[in-house]
Amino acid sequence: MKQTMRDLLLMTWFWASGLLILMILLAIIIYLTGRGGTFISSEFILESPRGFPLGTEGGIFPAIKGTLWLILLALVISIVPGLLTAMYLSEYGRSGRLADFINLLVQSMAGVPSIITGLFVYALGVVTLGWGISLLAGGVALAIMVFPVIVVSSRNALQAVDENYRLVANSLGVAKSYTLFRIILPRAAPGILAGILLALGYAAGATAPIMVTAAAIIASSSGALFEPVMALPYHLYILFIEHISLNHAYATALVLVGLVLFLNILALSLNSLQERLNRQ
Amino acid sequence: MKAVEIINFSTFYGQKQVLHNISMEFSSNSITAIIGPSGCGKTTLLRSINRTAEMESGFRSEGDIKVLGKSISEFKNLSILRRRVGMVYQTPVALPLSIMENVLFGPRYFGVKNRSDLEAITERCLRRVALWDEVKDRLKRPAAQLSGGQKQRLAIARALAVEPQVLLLDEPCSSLDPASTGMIEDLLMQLAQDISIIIVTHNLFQARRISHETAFILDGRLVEKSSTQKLFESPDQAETKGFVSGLFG
Amino acid sequence: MINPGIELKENIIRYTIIGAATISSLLLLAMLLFILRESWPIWSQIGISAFLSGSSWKPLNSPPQIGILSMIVSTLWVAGGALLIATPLGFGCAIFLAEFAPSSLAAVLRPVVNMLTGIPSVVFGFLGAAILVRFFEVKFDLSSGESLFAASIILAIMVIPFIVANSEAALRSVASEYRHAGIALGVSRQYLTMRILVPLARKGMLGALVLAFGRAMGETMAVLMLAGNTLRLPGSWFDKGEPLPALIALELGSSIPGSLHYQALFAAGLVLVLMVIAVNLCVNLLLKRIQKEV
Repeated sequence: MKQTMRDLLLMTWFWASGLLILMILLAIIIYLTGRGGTFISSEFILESPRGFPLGTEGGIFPAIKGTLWLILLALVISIVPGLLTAMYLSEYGRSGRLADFINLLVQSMAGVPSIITGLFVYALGVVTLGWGISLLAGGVALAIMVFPVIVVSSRNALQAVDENYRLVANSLGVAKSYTLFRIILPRAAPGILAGILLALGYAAGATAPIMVTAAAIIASSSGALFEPVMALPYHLYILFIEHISLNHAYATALVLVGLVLFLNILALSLNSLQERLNRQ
Repeated sequence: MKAVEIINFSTFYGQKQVLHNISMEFSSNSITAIIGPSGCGKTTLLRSINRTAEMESGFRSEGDIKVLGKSISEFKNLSILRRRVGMVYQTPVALPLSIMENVLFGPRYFGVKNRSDLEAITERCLRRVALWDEVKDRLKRPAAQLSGGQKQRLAIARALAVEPQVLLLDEPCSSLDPASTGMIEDLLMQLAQDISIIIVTHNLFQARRISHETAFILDGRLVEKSSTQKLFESPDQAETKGFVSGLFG
Repeated sequence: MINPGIELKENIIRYTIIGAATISSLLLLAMLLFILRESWPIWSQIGISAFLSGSSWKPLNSPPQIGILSMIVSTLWVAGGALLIATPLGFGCAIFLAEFAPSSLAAVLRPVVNMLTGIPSVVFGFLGAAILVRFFEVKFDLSSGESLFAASIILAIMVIPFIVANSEAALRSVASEYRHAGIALGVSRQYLTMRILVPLARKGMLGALVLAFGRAMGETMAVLMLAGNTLRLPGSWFDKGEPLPALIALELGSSIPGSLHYQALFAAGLVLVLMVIAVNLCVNLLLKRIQKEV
């Protein structure tokens, strides 16, 4: 029976694909935790790199600090433009030509390779404006990178708010901005926050843009805007590529993945809170 | 002066014509019911009066509507029109605010700041819809906790808070139980003493009970409008007779 | 009840929002124009065809040789190879999640797929380099296990979650009437899925592939650590290569601003962006044609 044979093969294909992917992730997590976990200690988290070559001993504290500074700066720069654009798309534009155009631009921005963003900020900030390899340049590059993410997730969160509220408010004669700030925005807050957290996780793991604009092999990451910083993803790259310490590389990878997963899980729970709210 | 006058009014969604050359008048301080089969434009008519219909893309209209003597197209600031003409929708909607803030949503926007004024408005409007006694102890609680009937009365209170002279209701009781429906009908009849009320309803019993005049709309055309008693007992048009005859065989 | 100044306030807010949205979005155009400007001498002096078809990249020689053919080929090969691996797995998993997985398993698998999208590319590159490359070196007795093939494998793992998420959504959005009709006819669920549901969802599924291809082309870290970074034109999937993103990342810092080398890197960047845009446009057109058939 040829069809039964085909059915069986197809089913095998489906099951195998699903299980394989499941196993890949589990393998990644388990392997990382296994190889890296033993090297994580309070010393590792809280101290600077030491030893010769630098990084074989000591910790990664400046890299952690640097990553936190970078994502904070990225957030501060991108959040207002991102939210305003999302508010436009959700409340004022809706279906006009300008809104379509902006939607297209934002979508395209999301597809731009992150190295290109780094290239742009390198030329504009690092070279032309004279910032040098700096926290500021890195923050700007990451801000550009996460801007479309914030716009899309905030826009979706705003649009998901019950349309009836807008109808009712409109029929009372109040202005759009009044409704937006008093009702829609507060209602969509969990979803918007979730989008921001996801964007932060994305920024924390990005290497290419900061490689060319902000990252240094060793720096104090004190938060000075015009100084280079260390960052977790770049530190991981250097530890491995320069054959400094495989063990510390695994540990660094684990810390980075832990940070990103933490942000993602927070975002996930905020999103389900938002969904519960929307169903009320 | 008539509360609302509809003059040769037609509406289109894209190519499709929804309302055909409707002309009618709604008297002040009375209740007019609009009846007719589903989907024949009753809601569009209501939404045209407070100019929320034009928010849909593809909407176009011809003809005129006058509210309290003034053409709606002359209102530069739609906000003023929408205060004069209040609207209550089919689904009871409680804004995600407290009960008190629901009522005060409009007044706050229009600049009322004084605390005692705000409290006075809240009490006055909630009393008019017979909700005050039920909620006076929990004004700061979320309005979402109210029942469907209570939410709908709250919606009316919210609309009343901006002091409209005309109140439009689009099948306000269709998702409510009979007890709530009765409460709302009673309060509408009370309100009609100083507000002109236009209510779209598919419940012919309701139209009979509460309205002074009734209009029958079929396929976007006004078939007949007259005093409620006449329309139901001895209508002029055969179509009207056919529509209401289910009740009064 | 009057509130003077309400209208003014509303208008200020409204125009601020519109202004901010427009300006922010024009950022993309600003970026493209800037890169075009920085790379202009390359286009005017060396010319498009010489730049794109030259397979020798020695910008610091005299005379300098500036051709990015090897990089373009590496980019396409590594991304194409990634899609070759990722498509059957991604589609298979998407179909599995949409139609066949028991709900308890699906409830685990879906968050897992989600989590995979969150793992930074440098971690994938690192694991690939530490494990996969080492494996190749040992198993096949090579001095260096880096290759376009190794990069493709890791890229595939990176893009599979995107393919799965988008394809599953496309399958789910197929109206359930089709499923009911199929089951009523007595065909197997596999038959129903492959003959009816997948064709109906092909727009979304193809779109998922495009997104994945674009992402694979633009990925930097994974290829930096796995593709081998040689400037020669790769001759097979198992050769080493240097895709465009790796080229830019490696050489930008050491190039002298304003020099031909610097400008050439910008030109390479522009080519990369245009390649990604071209892929997106192509498939958008293709999708529009599919739309018309339906």
